[in-house]
Formats: sequence, C-alpha cells, structure tokens
Amino acid sequence: NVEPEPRSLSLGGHVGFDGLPDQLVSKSVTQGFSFNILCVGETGIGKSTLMNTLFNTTFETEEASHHEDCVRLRPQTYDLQESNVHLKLTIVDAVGFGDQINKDDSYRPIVDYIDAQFENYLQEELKIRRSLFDYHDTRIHVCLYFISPTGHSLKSLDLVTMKKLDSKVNIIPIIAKADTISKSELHKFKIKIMGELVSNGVQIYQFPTDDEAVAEINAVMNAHLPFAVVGSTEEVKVGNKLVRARQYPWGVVQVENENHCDFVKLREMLIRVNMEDLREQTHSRHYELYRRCKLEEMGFQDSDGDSQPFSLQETYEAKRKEFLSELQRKEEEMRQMFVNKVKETELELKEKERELHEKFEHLKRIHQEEKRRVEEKRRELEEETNAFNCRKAAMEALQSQALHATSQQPLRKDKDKKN
Amino acid sequence: MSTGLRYKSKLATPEDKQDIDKQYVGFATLPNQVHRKSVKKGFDFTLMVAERINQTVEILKHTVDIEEKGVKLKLTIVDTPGFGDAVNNSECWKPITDYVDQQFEQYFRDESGLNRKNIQDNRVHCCLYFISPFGHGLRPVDVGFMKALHEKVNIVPLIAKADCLVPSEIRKLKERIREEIDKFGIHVYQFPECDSDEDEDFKQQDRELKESAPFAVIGSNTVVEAKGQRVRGRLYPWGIVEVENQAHCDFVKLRNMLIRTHMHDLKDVTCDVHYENYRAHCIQQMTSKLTQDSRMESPIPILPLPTPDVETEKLIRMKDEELRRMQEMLQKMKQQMQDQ
Repeated sequence: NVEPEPRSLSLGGHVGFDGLPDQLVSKSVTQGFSFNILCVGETGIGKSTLMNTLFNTTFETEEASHHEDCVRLRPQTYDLQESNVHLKLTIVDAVGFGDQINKDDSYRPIVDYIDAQFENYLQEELKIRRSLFDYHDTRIHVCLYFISPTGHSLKSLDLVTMKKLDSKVNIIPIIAKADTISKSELHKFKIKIMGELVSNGVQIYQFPTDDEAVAEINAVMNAHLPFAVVGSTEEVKVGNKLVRARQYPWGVVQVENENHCDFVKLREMLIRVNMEDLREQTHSRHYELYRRCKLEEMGFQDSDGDSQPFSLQETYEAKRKEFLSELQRKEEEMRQMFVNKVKETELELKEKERELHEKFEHLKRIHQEEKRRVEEKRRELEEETNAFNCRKAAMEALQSQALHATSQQPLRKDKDKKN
Repeated sequence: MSTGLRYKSKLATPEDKQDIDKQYVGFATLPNQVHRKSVKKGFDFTLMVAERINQTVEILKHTVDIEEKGVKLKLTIVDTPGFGDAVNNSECWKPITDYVDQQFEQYFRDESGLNRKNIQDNRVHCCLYFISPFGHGLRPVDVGFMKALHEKVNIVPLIAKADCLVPSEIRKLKERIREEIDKFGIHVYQFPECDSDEDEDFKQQDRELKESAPFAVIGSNTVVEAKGQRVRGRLYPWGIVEVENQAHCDFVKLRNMLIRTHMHDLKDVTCDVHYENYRAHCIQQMTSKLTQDSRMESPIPILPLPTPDVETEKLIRMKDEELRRMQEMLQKMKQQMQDQ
C-alpha cells in the first residue's frame, strides 16, 4: 500500500529542532573522526614531505629504498587534535611503487589493500553482535596520486594504476615537485593530463557542487586540477616573516604562496572543505559497490523482498557450518595428535624402563659372577691354606721325629766301646 | 532556553583569525562540514504515542515535513489504538509490539539488501507512554505494556492530564511511579550523563531534568489570553492553566528533552541498542531454524580435553618416579661393586 506523501506544515512558533545538527555534531565530536589517506607515487617524489607539510608536523618515516622487489603498503596511524576535534589519521604509503623493472603487477597490492579494508568493514557489519559506532574505520577515504613533473604527459603506469583504482577510492591527482616546472609549461601539462584522464575514462574525484554553501569554491577548484604542489618543512625568512619554503640560489619557492604552487588549494579542498564529503563518498559509493559485488559473488540476488534476509542468512549459515565443521576437524586432528604423542611417550618410557631393568639385571649378574668367583677363590685359598697347614703340621711332626731319632743314636755308640 | 546556542559555541570558528596562525591545519572544521551536510540531508524522527483510552482502533501514522531555520525534519507520529479498556486485557499491547517489530524487520531487510541507496528509516525512536493520574501509581496493564516494550523502544513515561493534581500530589505520584518502575524492573529511557566539561548551569539543568521524571504534562490546542499574552492553555473558572508555564506542568521540560537536547540521542539508542538487539535475536532465530542446532551460544564447541590431560599427566609423573628410583638403585650397586 502506498503511503501518502508527507505534507509540509508551517510551525506556529519556535519548536527547537533546529538544534538537531548541533546534537549530531556534538556526538560526532565526542566520538572523534578518522581519516585515511593513501599516497601513491614513485619513491622520492615527495609523499612524506607533503604529508608533513599538510599536517604541519613531522610524521616519523624513514626514507624508502629503491630496491624493494614489490610494492607493499605501509599504514601508519597518528592521533591528532585541533581545538576540540580529535582526528585519527592513517597515512598509507605504497612503498616501492615504480621501482621494479617489471611494473605489470604494481597496482595489485594497492587494490588488494583497499579491498581488504572494505572486507574488514563488511565482516564487522555482518557480525551478529556488532559495534559499528566505535569501529575504527580503516577504509581509504582518499588516494593522492603523485604525478612526476616530466612536463609532457602521464606515464602508462599512472594510467593503468589510476584506472584500476578509480572505482574503489576517491582519487585526487597531484603534480609533485612542481617547482621544476615553469608557469606556462605547467598550464600545458595540466591540460594534457586532464585530457589523457578523460580519454582513458579515468574517474577522478570531483569536489561536490550540489551544496550551495560550497558549490562555488568547489567548482573553481575543480578547474585547477591536478594541483601542482611543493612540499617543505623548512622555514625561510621572507620579508619579516618565517615561511615554509625551498631556498634556491635564484629565489625562494614559498609553499603557501598561491602564485608559486597550489598547495593552499589542496589543503583547502582536502582538509578544510571536503574531508567529510570524502568520507561519505567512500562509505556510500565505493564501499556499497564493493559490498554489492561481494554479496553477488557469494551468490545472492536482489530479487524480491521476501527472500533477501534468508538468502543472506543462508549463505552466512552455510559459511558458519563450514567453519564449524572445519573447527571440528581440526579439533579431531589435534586430539589424535595428542593421543599419538601420549602413546609415543609411553612407548619411549616403557623402552627406557626395559633398558634400565636389563641393565640392572645385567649388573646383578655380573655382580653375582664376581661374587662367585671371589667365593671360589676364597675356597681355593682356604683349601690351600688347609693343605699348607697340613703339610706344615706333617713337616713339623717329621722334624720332631727326626730330632728324637738323632738324640737316641749317640747312646748306642758308648755302649759298644765298653765291651 | 538557549541550548541551540550552547552547542554552536562549542564549534571551532576558523574563518576569522586562524588562517594567520601557522600551526593551524584545518581539520577542526570537520564538525562544521558535518553540520553543513546534515542540514542539507535533513533529519527524520518517529514518535509513538500510547495511552489507554483512545478513539483510534488501529495504528495510524501521520507524517509531516517541518522546517525550522533551514533544518528539515520529517516527523512521523504513530498513534496507537486505545488498549487496556476491555474486560480482558491480556496481551492488549500485542498490536503495538508487532508494529515496532515490523519496522525493525523492514529495516533489517533493507539493510541486508544489495541496493541500499534509499533506505527509509521507519523505526520507532521514542514512545510516549501516558500514565493515568487517577490512581496511586502503575497499574498492572501499565507494567505489562512497558515491560513488553522496554527492550524494543525508548519509553518515556508521562503523567497525563496533570491539571487534576496539586503539586504535593504530583510529587508523591512521581515518587511512587519511580519506585514502581524500579521494583518491576522496567527499563525506561535513561538520560545520558552529561560531559564533565559542561558548565555548571547545564549540569544543574540536567539534574533537575532527571529529578522531574516522569514528566507531568497537560496538553492544549487552544490559545487563551492570560496576563495580557496569548498562551496555550486550559481555561477553568478558577484560573488558567498555562501549558508552557514551568510552575504549572512539565511540558517545557518534556519539549526541551525530547526535541532540543535528546532527540538525536533517542535515535542513537534506537539504532545502536534496540535495533542491534533485535537484529542479533533475529539472526540467531533464523539460523537455529535452518540448522536445528542447539549449540547457539558459543560458535566454538567446548573441547572435552581437560580430563585425559590430567590422567596422562599423572601417568607420566608416575613413570618418571619409577625411572628415577631405578636409576638410583643402579648407582648404588655400581658404588658397592667399586668398593668391593
């Protein structure tokens, strides 16, 4: 049944719901904001310096080497505060981009990283007990693509990479190290770049022009893309002020001088005017697209209203069953392993026990042998002693007899003489 | 009451002097950006009114678009049928709980769909429950109703037709109702604690607000002349009851709470607490239906490993002991042999 169109009523007096935006703002300030920037560009092109310049601080990063064998994404999170606003800023660096000899797959780690953040959010959203309001959002809100200031055109790596990224993230292209290009060259360069982007169908982020409050400034800025920036954290005295600049023998390039480069424009657009829009677009456009594709992949169509939650839940349930059975299998495996190990150890112990017992028996036998031998020897000794004693006694007896006999002999001789 | 201004003053205003300030990066404008976008997008709010005696026989929705100082609000009022007035009132609140559940279900489906661009949020953000002043507190049907709904929607209990009670009677009744709400374990909407960095004025107001719950209200659609001013009120022979006079009733407190300070919090509690509970419950029910598996609570089954572990441990220890003893004996015998 079609609901009647809501009618507009005029209010008789002040009610007070005009404070609603303030209530919302108050809540979001209490929660804090998170913002995630992805920097893609060749090594040494000035990504870290630009981040330092933009946020007026020094993020601790070591210089990257040119010899990485593949592109890897390095996220670093910082907690910043300005007046009463807390910002959890994550800067993701595509380290090693453009350094490999074969750059065919350079874009892949970047795309994978962006998808992984979407996936994490999707997982949280699908949980049974979820807490989205205090979830640390790691989805990439903007990709700053650093273009080399060759002055001629985009490299094919740039086109390929941006084409792969434009449906997943808001891309803002920037010309890095713009102090190497003169004004007229820059103008031609910008036109060439935008032309190439359009003819290759690359969708870069357009600053929104649907909100009257900022439509005008955004429209003007859109015409200045890509922004030619210069980054510097060093201060040089110009006039009687210290400004951030690069000092050359031929002059000083001032970062915040709009005649020298577009840094101020970039800061204005990225941070002061459209930060919230970048976050919103990431959530309502890029993330939704990812989610739709992922869910369709998992095999569920947006057919009629009735089947939806069940299909989603069916798929979810199927996955859950899979997970549970996997878990059970692993549990069985582990139990089996444990039982086996116990058996093994038992066997070992038995083996050792047997060995020890054997040794014990062996030693006992040896001991008994020894004892027997010793016993025998003793007996022999005893026998010998006895024998010896006997012979000694016999000898003594003989000796005494002999002595007795010789003492009788001399008497007979005397008798013979008398006759 | 200048609550609107109070919130505004907390926002950073960078436009004036900070551009000169070198340290300024500019993300302090984020709240302003959020503000701007929310004004552009507009707000919506659904209010449900529940009272016992009522002409309506079915649930009626009235939606209006109103605007104030550039802020657009799509307000939906859900009028419920009178309940509790039949002879047998068991489960008389069922049509209302069904309605609330239906809105949750609709939102759950939309949220789970593939195309989520234009989801309509029809969930009930607040339920004003009118308690009759002609009694000594909560009646069983009041308790039944509130307990059926307190986990599904923010309940703000109100004392209706408060112009039949004198101040001391109102005080007693409020105390009674508060006690009974505690006693029966009814979870009415709790005002959130205000930040510790708020000024004393605000904290005082907040305290007064919490102490006057449940609000005693009087409603009037007629404008009468009182003290030379045209005010909304009720004309009696003995005087004029002014709706917006804080000494006469709590209408102003209710309006401030409901609209000026806590409207967004009511929406947040509905989304983050009541809806999430419904969703979790719903998913668990669905999955239990699909698998007939009673192991719902812990997705990871508890492993029955502990006992074999303990026994085998003991065994291993025993064997170790034996081993040690035998080794000792061996040593002793070796020693003996050497001595001999």
